[in-house]
Amino acid sequence: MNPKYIAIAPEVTLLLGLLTMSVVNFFRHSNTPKTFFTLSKITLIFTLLGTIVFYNRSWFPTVFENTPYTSLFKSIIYLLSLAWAYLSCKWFLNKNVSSFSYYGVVLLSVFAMSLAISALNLFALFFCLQGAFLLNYFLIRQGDDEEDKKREAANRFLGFAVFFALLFMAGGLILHFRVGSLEYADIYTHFSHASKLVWSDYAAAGMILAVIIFMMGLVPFHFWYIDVIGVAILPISGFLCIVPLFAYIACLTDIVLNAFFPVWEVFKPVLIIFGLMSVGFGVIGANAEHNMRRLFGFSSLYHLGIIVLCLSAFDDNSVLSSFVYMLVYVLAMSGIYTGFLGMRSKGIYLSKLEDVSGLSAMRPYISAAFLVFLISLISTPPLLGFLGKLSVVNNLVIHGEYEIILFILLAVLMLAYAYLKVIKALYFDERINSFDRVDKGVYICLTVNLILILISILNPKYLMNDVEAMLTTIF
Amino acid sequence: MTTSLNFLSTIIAIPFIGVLFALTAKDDDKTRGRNAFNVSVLAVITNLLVLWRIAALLDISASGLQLTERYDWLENPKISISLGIDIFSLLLIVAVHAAVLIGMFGARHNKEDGKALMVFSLLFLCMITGFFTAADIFSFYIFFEAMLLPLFMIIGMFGGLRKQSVLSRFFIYNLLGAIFLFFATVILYNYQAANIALNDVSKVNLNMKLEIFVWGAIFISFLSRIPIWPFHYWISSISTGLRNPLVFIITNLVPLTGVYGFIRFWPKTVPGVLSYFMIILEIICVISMLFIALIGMINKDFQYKIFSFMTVWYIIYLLAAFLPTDTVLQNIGYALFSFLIIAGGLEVLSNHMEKQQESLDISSGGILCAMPRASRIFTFFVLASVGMPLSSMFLNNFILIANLLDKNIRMGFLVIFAIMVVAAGLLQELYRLKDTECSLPDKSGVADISYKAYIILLIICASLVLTFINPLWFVV
Repeated sequence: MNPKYIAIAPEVTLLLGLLTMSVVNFFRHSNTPKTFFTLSKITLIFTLLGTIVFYNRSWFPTVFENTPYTSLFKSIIYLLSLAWAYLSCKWFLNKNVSSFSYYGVVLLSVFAMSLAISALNLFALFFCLQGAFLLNYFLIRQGDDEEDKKREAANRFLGFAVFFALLFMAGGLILHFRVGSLEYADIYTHFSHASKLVWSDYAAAGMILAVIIFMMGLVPFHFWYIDVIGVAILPISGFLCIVPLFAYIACLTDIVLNAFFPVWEVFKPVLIIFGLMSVGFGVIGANAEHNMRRLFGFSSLYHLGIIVLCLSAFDDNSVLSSFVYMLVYVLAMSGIYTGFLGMRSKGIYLSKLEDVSGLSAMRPYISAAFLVFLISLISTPPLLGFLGKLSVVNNLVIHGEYEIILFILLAVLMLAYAYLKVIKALYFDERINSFDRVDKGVYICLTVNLILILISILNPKYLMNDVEAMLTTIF
Repeated sequence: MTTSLNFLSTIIAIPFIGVLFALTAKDDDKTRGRNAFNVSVLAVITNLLVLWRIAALLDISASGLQLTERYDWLENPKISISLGIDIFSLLLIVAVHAAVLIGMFGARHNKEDGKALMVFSLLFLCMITGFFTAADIFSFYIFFEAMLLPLFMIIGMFGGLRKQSVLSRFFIYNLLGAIFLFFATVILYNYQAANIALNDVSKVNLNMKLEIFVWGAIFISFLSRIPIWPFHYWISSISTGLRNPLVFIITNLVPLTGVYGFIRFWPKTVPGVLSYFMIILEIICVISMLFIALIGMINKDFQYKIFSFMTVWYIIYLLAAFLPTDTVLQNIGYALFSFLIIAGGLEVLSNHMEKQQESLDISSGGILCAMPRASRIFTFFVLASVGMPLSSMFLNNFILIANLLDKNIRMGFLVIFAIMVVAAGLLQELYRLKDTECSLPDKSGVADISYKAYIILLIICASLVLTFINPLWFVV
């Protein structure tokens, strides 16, 4: 196939945007946090448009292939990055600190994730996905508060990230030695001949899958995730909670279906166990927390567990159901983080439960939106979360996984208990803090998010029909 | 019957539109939630008018759901939301609206967060209306669980509970029930590869293992809404602490959803797999009923007496729901109609008396002597509640009890005993409140109910009397 260079326009746009930001940072001295946000915004909008236009065109088809499936995930990542970049700007404006390094690293990370999603080759996947993941180190170090904690967390993260990068390399090398190629299609063919497989083939596949699971932060590799969510500044926590998940899931689905599917039955029980552990650990952790950011970090573990439990069969229905759940989760979680931006007292962003007591009395709209997102996260109808729960449980019933369903549904009760603590603090407890004025951008984002939730729950079929058609292109 | 107008979605939408208007209503120190109150009352009254029109369109003699509506909601899994109504659900919807309206008037002087109370009450009304009009298992489940959020917020914000942990437990208990129903719903859906109409649920042929699981889950989900052992604790601990009449009324509508669930899922007969457990359930019901009735009689708190009155009757309606005749179901509908309105009226008046007692720091004995208007209405409600021929509770409850006696004479006698205990408790309280010996002189500053409230309550009493003559007097 001939390379179609125009199809790389979205990624080139991201690089050009990054370059422009660096030039502006170097030569222009009157920059404000808004300057870099504006540049990121323009870059991301053009990247998104390019992705939509060239949704099924590939510039180097043997290594990076664009399909409606990859374009769907990329578009979502660009959209979420754009929305979160807008909200993060509020944080930087409030703190009055330079936003160059934040937006720069975010754009670079988005660039690497974008390439990783299209990768058809383990070598390309390694460089792009590991690159995007290692960039988190620079993100964690951002901000000048709690320097020591951040440094410690960032160093720990780097240590583990390097270790797992080496693991990925080792897996890749073994496969290259055994298969003679790192292309997914060749690996798939190799694994299709079951009689020729030796233990090192399984080990190599296991190593690579373990690295992706580590990046997702699934139990037992969750340690870095909770650590980072707890200490990073709010824009970083929000970004890590919302955006990269789509890239990791897209890459996991791609590599399992196109490279390791013939031996997937060997790894499936492991993923299910990890998923169950994440669900259990997530709800226990959430109940034990009084720091809201860590509480939602643990709750993310729970949701991540549900997503992989649903995805574990890797058939068309599983992929669709987990995608629906992921979309619902991201919408609600982005609303939660938007709400965090509205919880400020004397210039400090609040994260402890007792600090936000009685918020509803002073900021009823923020509290009400928070309530909607919380209820959506515990999947109670008529909110959008119900759609996610329905998709997942229906898929598990189809696969006859009744025990898993029971476990998930009982875990929801425990998660609900943790969320009730938040609702209680916001609505039923006495106010102990005064709250700062909330930027109207936060209100706008909350309203847009709520409208999206309302539209999606009232008429999900129009949206889901197209999404289903796009998702099937992965098979 | 089908019509070109979507009446059922309209009655669900009107409270929701009311919510939107109430949210945007101006609320400051001057208005104190009055705008939200006016909007809410208007929404409920509008809905009652639409319900009247629906009543006129219904064919009373026809069986099955009428005025059906259907919306294709989701493609994968393919789910349509179906709505339908019959005379039974219409009666319940009207009664719930009337009870909430009474509660709204009772809570109109609530100074704090009156707007939020009205918003969540309308939201609850929207969900419970959807629940009573749901015609398939998915829409039934959606509304069954959806009403939990407004309920939780109403109790948490306005219930005045001393222990918030009770509230969390209440929510978790209910959510557990909803989760069981959800599980059963998805299994049934996948088994039939289609959404199932409510009346057809019992006709689904499942294998033995699945049948035990599905029906067991459905059973637990409805039982979790009714205060019988082992689920009795949450609602009694919540109800006794409530000091807002609207919150009390709404909270005590929850068991109704459980009873209704049983009635809808078991239209004529108990599914075979559960018939073995029915005797156990009946024993538990009767014991719970006697236990709550006796506590109600010895408890000094009038609110607990109303709670025990409501619980005993809910359990009786539940036991009657298992009787395999259509006539009984119709009677449950007629009786519940009056029952909910009477309970709402009793609660609002008792709350008024309690407020007077607290503000003047006086004893409640003989307080009714100082408030003649309230006294007349209160007496009417108490007499109607104990089964005097003043409302549809008289004849229809009589038929229900007769049927229960016919089925099992021992159970029937125990039911009658529980009713007598509850009635004795209410009459004893009426006597104490009207006791002339302790009425003077400390009751001189007691404020009676306003003339406006008196007239509204008189109209309600008149409509109750009409239900005694003809339970469907409003169906033209």
